[in-house]
Amino acid sequence: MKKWMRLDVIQYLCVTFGVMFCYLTGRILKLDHNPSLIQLEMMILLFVTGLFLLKKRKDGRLQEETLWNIMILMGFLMRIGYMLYTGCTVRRHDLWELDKNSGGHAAYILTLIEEGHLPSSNQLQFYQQPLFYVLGAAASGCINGILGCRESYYLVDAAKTVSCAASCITLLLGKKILTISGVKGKEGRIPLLLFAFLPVFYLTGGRVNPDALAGMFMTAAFFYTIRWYHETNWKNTCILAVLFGCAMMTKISCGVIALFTAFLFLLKLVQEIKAHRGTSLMMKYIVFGGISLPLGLWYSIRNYRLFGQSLSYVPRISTSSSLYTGSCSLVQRMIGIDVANLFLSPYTNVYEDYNAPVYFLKSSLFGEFLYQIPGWIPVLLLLFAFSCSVACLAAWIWQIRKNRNDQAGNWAAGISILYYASILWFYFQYPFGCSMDFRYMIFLPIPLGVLLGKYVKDKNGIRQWVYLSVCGLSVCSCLMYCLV
Amino acid sequence: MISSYVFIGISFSIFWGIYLLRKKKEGIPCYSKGEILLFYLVSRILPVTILPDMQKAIWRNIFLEWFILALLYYYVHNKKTEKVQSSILVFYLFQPGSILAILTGNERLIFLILPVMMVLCLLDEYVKRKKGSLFAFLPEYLIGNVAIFCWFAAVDLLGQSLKEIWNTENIPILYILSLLLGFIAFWKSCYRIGSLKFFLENREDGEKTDEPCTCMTGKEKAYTVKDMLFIILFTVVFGTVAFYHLGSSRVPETYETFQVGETGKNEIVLGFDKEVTLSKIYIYLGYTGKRTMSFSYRDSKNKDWVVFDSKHEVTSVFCWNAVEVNHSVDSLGIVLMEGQASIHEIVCLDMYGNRVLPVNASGYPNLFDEQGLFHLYRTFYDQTMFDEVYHARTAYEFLNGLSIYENTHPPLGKTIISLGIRLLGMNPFGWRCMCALLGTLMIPLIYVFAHAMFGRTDAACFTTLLLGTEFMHFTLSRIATLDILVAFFVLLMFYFMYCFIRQCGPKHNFKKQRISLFFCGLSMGLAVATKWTGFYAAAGIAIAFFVFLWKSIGGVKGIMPNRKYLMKLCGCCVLFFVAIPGVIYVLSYLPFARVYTDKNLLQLVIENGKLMLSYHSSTVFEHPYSSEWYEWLIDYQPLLDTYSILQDGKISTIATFGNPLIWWGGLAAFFHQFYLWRCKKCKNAQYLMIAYLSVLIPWLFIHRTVFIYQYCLCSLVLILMWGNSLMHIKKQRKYMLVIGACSLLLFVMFYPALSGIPVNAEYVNQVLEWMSTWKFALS
Repeated sequence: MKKWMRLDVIQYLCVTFGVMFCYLTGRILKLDHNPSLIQLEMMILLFVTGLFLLKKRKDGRLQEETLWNIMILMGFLMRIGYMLYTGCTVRRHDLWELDKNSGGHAAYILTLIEEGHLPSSNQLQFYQQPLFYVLGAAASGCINGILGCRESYYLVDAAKTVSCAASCITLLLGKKILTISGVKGKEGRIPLLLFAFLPVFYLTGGRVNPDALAGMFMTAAFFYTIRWYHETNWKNTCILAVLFGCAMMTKISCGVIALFTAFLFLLKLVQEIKAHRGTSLMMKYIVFGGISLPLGLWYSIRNYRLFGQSLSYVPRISTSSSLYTGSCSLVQRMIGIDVANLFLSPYTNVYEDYNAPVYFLKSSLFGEFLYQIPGWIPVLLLLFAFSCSVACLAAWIWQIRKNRNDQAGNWAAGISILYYASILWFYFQYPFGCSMDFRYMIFLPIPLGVLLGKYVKDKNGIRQWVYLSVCGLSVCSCLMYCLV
Repeated sequence: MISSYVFIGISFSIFWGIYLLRKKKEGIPCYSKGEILLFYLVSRILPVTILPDMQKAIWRNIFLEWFILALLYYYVHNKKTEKVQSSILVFYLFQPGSILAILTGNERLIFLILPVMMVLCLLDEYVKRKKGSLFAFLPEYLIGNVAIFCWFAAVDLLGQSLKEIWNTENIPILYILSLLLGFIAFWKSCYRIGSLKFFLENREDGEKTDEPCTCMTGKEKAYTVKDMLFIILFTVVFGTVAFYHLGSSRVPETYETFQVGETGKNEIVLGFDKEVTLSKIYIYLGYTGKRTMSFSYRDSKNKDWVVFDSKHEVTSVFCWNAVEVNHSVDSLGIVLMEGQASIHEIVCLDMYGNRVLPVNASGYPNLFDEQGLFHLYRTFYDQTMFDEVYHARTAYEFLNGLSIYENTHPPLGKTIISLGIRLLGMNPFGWRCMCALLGTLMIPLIYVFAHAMFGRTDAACFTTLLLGTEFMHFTLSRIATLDILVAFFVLLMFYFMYCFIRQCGPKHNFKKQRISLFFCGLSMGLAVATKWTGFYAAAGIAIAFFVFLWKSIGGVKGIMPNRKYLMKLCGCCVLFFVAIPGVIYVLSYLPFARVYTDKNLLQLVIENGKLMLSYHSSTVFEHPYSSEWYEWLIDYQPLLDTYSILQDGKISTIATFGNPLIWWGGLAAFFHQFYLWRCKKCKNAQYLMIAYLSVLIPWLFIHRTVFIYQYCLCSLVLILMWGNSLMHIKKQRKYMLVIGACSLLLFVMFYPALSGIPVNAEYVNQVLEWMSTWKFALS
């Protein structure tokens, strides 16, 4: 067990340092000045890997484990490649000026690097939990220290290595979740392809903000909660507590996963009480709380004491803003599916769109941005993604109606609806176009992927359709983000 | 063009849906020549004839296609079995490429079908040589069909083209989708050919056919005390809700008549004891609308009269009409500019909304005697709404022998409305009460209908609950228009025809049949004399009559042995469906005869008939709430009957539209009826489908401005379809309870937008406006 544990940690560390190494190399070779070259390299590597896979398959020597690993490597390639060719000021969110006083994510990191302490106000983005910025500043400090660079742009830019590493680790965790949930073999390829090539993972991985890291911690919390349920020991309890602490230190909204964990805690407690072993478990819960709560909430308490900032504080946008969608009804915004909008444009329009399901779908592929790329590529990507979404919805319904005996499936279904509901609740509270961005819900594909894998395993008839959709999505995704 | 596309989409989907279900259960179905002819009409003639302007090129394409059909027939008539022959023909008819090519009017596209057919024939020969079947390519064929449909829609409706797929903006998504689907169909077909996967499973035909449905075979179940209690309960509850807050029974009634040309009789001069700043005046206008008036005030400095609105049209009858003043005045003059006007009351308001009484009010005793009946925030409750300005007014004219304003519908409906006015006075409650009464009477009627159809108390209760919670039925029951009246008579007509067909045939009691036919004819007469939409329903019952009679006598062979029975029936039909409705229709014109004494009754009927025909065939105007028939199916465009802004952010609004659960679910029930009819031989389903299509299909050919309430008759049939569908599934009672509860919940939720009770505008905007076209709270 210890060995296994160590292997996990080594994997994550390797990925993190690998990403940093790639970034460092890119900076040394000045690849960031020539995005087309990176894209060309990405295409060649993907093409060669594809040929390799085909050859192996033709020879009958392609093992499932190898295939999975290659898919993960291709996912890494896309994430790292995208990160390398996308500067921190491209497709950014709330980064604002690369100046300590701008109040954006850049300012947060620059304050940490240049002043060595947390921001002394909670204005604009400074209300955010600090872990991402601390890690980003640390990574930037190392990289730019090696390069001897003090330029603000690069100080901020290097922080995206944290996002990229988090996005890659999420992919690894996704694989682990599939395995622990009993999605193995051929059926596992479908969700793994989804985790590897869903563009939102590249987009968040190449950006300086905490979304990718929050997604990683949520995925890890989900995985370790299941593992804790199966092996309830002190070590797993502590890991879980630290993960929750870190997750909430990255973003308070990660606490949503705690509801799921609390449910399993309760379930376990009932079982243990029936077996007269409740005391030991109660101790674990106390320790869990003792670690996770201070870790997760210290910054919030600090801000509350210093600035009177509430726990769920988010800066308000005026209802007269063109981003406001509250004039549309709840059904139009959240429940109905605006099919007509799907046929208007593949891209989102943050000022015009109000329908959450369609916006979620589009922003999972393109974020909130427009791309100068031949229209048929994003459209095909959108159509394949729509098909995958329908399959995920069907898988969810199937799980609820027909597969209730499968515990792992039930948990995946439960957490996906819980998470989706929390996002809708957020949109209900903040009815603005930007609240619908999929970057807030990058954890969602993970449990849905689990359900999809199980569904495809059970339903032979639709396997071909889902395969086609996921493969189409993967190919179009690679094509799009190698040409953009 | 959209109409044709929607029709093709719906009809082709139904065909393929039923085909796949039948194929799953009984193998490849066989089609008779009659069915193929019917399919030709549905897939070729109907989509063309519903176009507003049928160009010559379209008909030329239809004839050109006959050449292809002839070639196809030549090719298939050598096939082994009749089943394969008919299936190939039907497969051809239900691919959208040909009909859409015809609709474009482009003959080159028609000729393009030929090479495609040749490729398919070659493929057929190849597959046959390998002992396979072309039917194995069905999935690819269907995907290809969808691709073709999308391609035509993209090119023809949206104007997209191939070169646009490289655009970075204005990307032709539908076009790309069609290409993708086409590619998938082609690729899968190639894969199937390459891997020789074109062998059909060996299946004995008719192996798994469903047991036929047993509806309409048993005797009608007797009513129990429970049934009676339910009928009373539902009626009382619905009646209470329908009559609650229906309309005020107290509105200004005394009036003064003004006439241009009579000295002192065409003007009103109001004086005030001091100079007051008037914001508005309100005029409650009597039975003649659209009166042009001039408004002036006397300048206190110069003592001159200043006209501030020389041609103001006071529009609405039996309604408070606002006139903006916003001047400081000590005298106000109102001059009627043309014709005659009856004014019931005038209210003057100062800048703060307080009533100001002129010092010379006693000079106009009838204009200032009911000031208490004016409310600053007026709603439908106090005045006419939507088409009530026509129908309530005309009912009033019928009662008083005045010149008739509304003559675009037969008079019976307005005569019925006038009964309420005679009983309760010319006030909102008076003109709405008869509609509310007949709407309420539809509750027991649907219970009886459902009981006869399903023979079960729970199903009857479920159906009645659906009708009681159907939005449109409720709204139309509370407005003095003709739709609920015609709906009542049509439902009655459908019910009696159902009673007839379940016992028709020479073996059953003829007296009972005669009674059913008599009442059916009577209700038909009443329906047609209320609104011409009754004719559509009459066509439906005629089709149902012949279809079921034909079956009951056993087809052609049964004519001679049953000729006596048929002769008697024929006599009854002429009497009940021609003579009685004719007499009712003519007699309904008695109110006209009272006014227009220079013409006899028949002349009036014919003259008014011509007028109605010309009006209904040519009236096209822009209206924000007008909608097309295919929009009704999905409840797309509600009609806002009335809208008033009240104080504290509240509004009063009434919208005519359907309960989404009943309408959207009803569409599924409609498709299910096809399945029940074709696969389970369910006669109820067949009857309901005939009824539904008879009241919907005529609207496909009508291109004037129409509104969602025309779908009211269809919605009644949809409710019965709901009931029939649930009778054919498992766990019926559970589903009835859940669906009934949901429908009730929706009704409660939407009640403020249906009844006009004051409600927070934000609630309406945030909770009730489910679609972007559902605008109940105007901003």
